[in-house]
Amino acid sequence: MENLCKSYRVAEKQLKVLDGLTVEFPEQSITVILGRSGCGKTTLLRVLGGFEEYDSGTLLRPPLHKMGMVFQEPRLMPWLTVWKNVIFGLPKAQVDPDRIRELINTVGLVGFENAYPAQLSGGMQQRAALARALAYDPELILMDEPFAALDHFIREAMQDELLRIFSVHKKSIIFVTHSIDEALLLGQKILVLDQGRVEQEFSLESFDYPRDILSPELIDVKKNIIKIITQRSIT
Amino acid sequence: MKNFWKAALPIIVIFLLWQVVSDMQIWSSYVLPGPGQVFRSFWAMVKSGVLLLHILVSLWRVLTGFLIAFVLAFLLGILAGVRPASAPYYRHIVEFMRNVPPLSLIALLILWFGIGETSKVIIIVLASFFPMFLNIKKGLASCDIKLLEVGHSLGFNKIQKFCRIMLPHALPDILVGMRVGLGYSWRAIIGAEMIAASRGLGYLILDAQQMSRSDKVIVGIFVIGIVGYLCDCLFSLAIRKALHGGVDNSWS
Repeated sequence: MENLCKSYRVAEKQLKVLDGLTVEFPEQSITVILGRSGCGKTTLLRVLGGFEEYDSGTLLRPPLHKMGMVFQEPRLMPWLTVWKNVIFGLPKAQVDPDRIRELINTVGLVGFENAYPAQLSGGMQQRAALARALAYDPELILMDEPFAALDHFIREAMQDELLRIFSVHKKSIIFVTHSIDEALLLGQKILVLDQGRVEQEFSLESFDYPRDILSPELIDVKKNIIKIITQRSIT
Repeated sequence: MKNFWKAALPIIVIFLLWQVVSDMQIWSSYVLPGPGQVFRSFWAMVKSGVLLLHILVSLWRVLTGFLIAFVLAFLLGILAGVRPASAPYYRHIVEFMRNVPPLSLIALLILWFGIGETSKVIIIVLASFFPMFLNIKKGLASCDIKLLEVGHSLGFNKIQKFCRIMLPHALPDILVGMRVGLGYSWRAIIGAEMIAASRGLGYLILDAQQMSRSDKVIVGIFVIGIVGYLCDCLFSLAIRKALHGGVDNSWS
C-alpha cells in the first residue's frame, strides 16, 4: 500500500480519512492496526477488503488470495441457523461436517447449531461470525474489532483461539482494534494510526506467544503507544 | 381453548340474534331468511355438488391469474428492486394502473376478450399484480448492504449475492405481497363473476338474486368469506413455516 488516500464528503466538506498511507503487511503474520475512534482504522480495512474504492495511491494484493472478513457486527444471515451461517461461504461439496463441528466447538457454540441468530446473545452471534470466516478458510483474514462486543473471559478465549489458529495454519491476519492490550497480545506488527497516517510501527516478532502483557518489555511498548496516542490528541 | 371460546362467542351471538330476529318475522323470509333455511340450502347445494363446482371454478381462476401475476410481479420486481435507477421508466404507469380498479376495466375486457376465462384471469392479474410487485420491489431494494458485504467478503458473485442474500432477505416482503395479492384477487374474481360468468361463486350470488333466493345469496356470501379466510390462513401458515420453521421473532 503506497501513498494511499481516501476521503469522504461530509456536510459539504471533504474529510480526509486516509492521508498518503504507505504500509506493507507481511504475509503469514498478525498485523494490528491500532488507534482511537475515527482515526481511519476501519476505512483502511475496508479499502484492503475491496469494500471501498480509494482516491489515489497504489494497493497491491498477492494474486489469488482468498480473503475473509470478520466485521464489527456479527452480520449473520437472520434466516439461517448457526450451522448454515457457518457454512454460508462454502460450496456444498466442500462442507466437511467434522471440521464445521470442530469450529463450532472452538467458538463455544456446541448445542446451538440449530439456533437462529435472533435467539443468540450478541457475543454468541459474533462467535458464529468468526466461525463463518474461519470455515471459509481464507489466506488473509481482515478483522474489524471482532471481539469488542465480547465479555472479558470470552474475549480472552477467542484471542487464544485466534493465536492457536494462527500458529497452526499460518494465516495472514490484519486485526483492527482500539485496545492496546489486545494489540500487544496478538500483534507481530503494530501500526499506530492517527488522522489517516501511520504514526509509528512496532515490531513484536521477537515476543513469543502466549504473551504476558505485564512483562517489563511489553509495558514499555504500551507506554510508548499511549505516549504517541495522547501526544497526538493534545496536538 | 380459551381463545377458541373468545372467537366463538361473538359468532354464536350473531347467529342467535339472527335466529331470534327471523323468528319474530319482522321481515319476510325473502328479505331475511333464517339460519335454518340458509343451512338447508347450503346442504342441498353441497349434496348436489353445485357448490363445490362453483368453488373450484372460482379457485381455479384465482390460482391461474394469481400465478401469472406473481411471475410478472417477480420479474418486474427484480428489475425494480435491483435497478432502482429504472424507476422513472415505469413509476408513473404503475401508479396510474394501481389506482384504476380492475373491475372498471371489465367492459373493455369483455369487448376485447369476450366473456370467457381470459377476461376474468386478466382482472385477477390486475388486482393481484400491484401488491406483489410493490412488496417484491421493496424487499429487494431494502436489502441490508451490510449483509451484501458479507457476500463480498466470501467471494460471492452477483448472482450468488442475489440468490443467497437478497432473495432470502426479501422473502418476508414477497410472502406478504403474495398474501395481500391473493386476498385482492379473491375479491376481484367475485366481482368479475357477478358481471360476466356462467359459473363461479360470484355467478352463484347473482343467479340466486335473479331467482329471488336470498338464502342462496347468503350461502354464497358465507362460502366466499370462508374460502377466502381459509386461503389466507393456509398462506399465513406457509409464511410461518417458510420463515425459519416458525421460530418467533427470528427475523431482524
